[in-house]
Amino acid sequence: MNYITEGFSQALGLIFSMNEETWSAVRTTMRLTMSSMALTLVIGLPLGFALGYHEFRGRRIIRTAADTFLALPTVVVGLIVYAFISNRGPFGKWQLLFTVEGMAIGQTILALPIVVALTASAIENLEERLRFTLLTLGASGWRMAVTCLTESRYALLVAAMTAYGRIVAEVGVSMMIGGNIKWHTRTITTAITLETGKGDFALGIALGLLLLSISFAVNVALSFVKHRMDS
Amino acid sequence: MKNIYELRSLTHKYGSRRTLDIKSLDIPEGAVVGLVGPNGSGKSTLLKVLAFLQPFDGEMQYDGRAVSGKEREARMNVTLLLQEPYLLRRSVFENIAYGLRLRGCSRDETAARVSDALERVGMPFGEFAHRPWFRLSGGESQRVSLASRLALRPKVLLLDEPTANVDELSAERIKGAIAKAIRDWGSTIAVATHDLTWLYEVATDIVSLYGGRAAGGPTNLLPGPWNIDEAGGRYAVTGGGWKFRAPVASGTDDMVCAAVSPEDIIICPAEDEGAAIGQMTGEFNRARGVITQMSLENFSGGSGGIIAAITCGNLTFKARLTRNAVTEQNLCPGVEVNVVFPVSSVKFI
Repeated sequence: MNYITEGFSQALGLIFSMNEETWSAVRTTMRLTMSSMALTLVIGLPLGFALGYHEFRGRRIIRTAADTFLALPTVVVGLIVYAFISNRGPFGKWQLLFTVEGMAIGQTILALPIVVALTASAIENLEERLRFTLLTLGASGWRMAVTCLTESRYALLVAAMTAYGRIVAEVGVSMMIGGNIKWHTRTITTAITLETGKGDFALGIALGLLLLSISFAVNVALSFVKHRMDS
Repeated sequence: MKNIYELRSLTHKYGSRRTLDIKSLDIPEGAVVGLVGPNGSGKSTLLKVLAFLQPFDGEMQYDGRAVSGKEREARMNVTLLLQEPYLLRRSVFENIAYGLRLRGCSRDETAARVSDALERVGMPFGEFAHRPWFRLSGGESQRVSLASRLALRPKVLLLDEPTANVDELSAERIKGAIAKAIRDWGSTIAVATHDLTWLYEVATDIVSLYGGRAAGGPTNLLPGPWNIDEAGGRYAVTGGGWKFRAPVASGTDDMVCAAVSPEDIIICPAEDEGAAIGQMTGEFNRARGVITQMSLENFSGGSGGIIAAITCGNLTFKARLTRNAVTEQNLCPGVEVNVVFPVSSVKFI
């Protein structure tokens, strides 16, 4: 039990002494998750809207696929992305393996079904009166899409938070695509895995506390945004 | 007068159920058209078709051009106030400004039009403009919805039960705003409502609907089922137990609903029926009921006639009366009367 309490006190020391190795993992994590989230939202919101709003052939199949991919195993995504971006793969010439960009692609694939499925669900649940109201006020095309997404902003906020939770906590993609390279692609989660394996609980706990802090800060920020929307 | 809408052989279906079946309907430009009929008669669907919100089969001309409903220019000039208002999750100002921004109005013009629209529905700008959508009562929400349509100064304003589900004050404000819009802009207005007293005051035309079929004028609808007797005559027994007959050669329609014009309805105290029918010959349909409403009519060029509503069981007849007839027979709401109309006046729609 002693090593856990010692680990905690050492962890706090590492955090407050601005230990470079610890903070490097934090910076990489922030950069990676922000890129992944931006990419996921830019692709996922329009796709989710299209899937939830329009009736077209094959829609139900795509909807089922999106729902199924909600539980996509991270190592499977890592494996597939690895196969595509490694030197032998079709995108090997872009040298994305063991880069943060490559990891962001993997995490985007992981989070995309969440944003697409939850956005589609939010749009499907919008009342028909909203669509009629917008049409009768003269909206169409992209303005209709933007207004519908704005009207379902709380549901989209939940989708974004869920996707972020999935991204920030995953290990498989980061480990397989990033390779856990110190100062370069080492994220908080891959560092915790490594340090725990090595028996360095202090660093593991320090990183774990920082990961929880990041998640907490993101949720507080989003709650603040929601509160602002309400007022 | 030019027609803003011309509908020919227009049908609309929900699944396999036909909800509109209009052979011919014209709406003149600048007219105030009242849509009347029981619940489920197709009033809301017709308004949605006129607002280009619902697909349809058949022909619809808007402003002299055949339209499918996708024409942007037509859609920008026509707006519909839904029966149950939906406000965007933003402030009152933003709700009203939404349609104006879509039309490229400048910031100053938007502010001015929002202020004007709020004033028209009796909501002071300073008090309501920045109020969020969730701090409005049902009546206020309906008034904001109307304001967001009035701000557009539409060529055609379609209103689906604008005063249903709102308090008396809001209903009065809504009616006032609509009357002002008619006076100020001469917009063509089509309004579905059960508030017949108000409707007869403001409407220049009445369209009656039943089972998706439309008949011009404040027609009395005699819903079926209509049957054919051994002699080939047609008859229907209504919920109130009244048996009505229609002439044998009254058309080749599928007898869904018949109609009688208010001009053909004679109302009189029971003992005076003979005098009221006078020299008229032929077979007559009869019912007994109580006058429940009397209102001055505005339609047909403001003839100043009086429309009386007589409730006979579950049927309400409308009769067009002259002022003299009302005075001479002491007709007023609450008086029990006989409703008489010639069998030959019954037409299938």
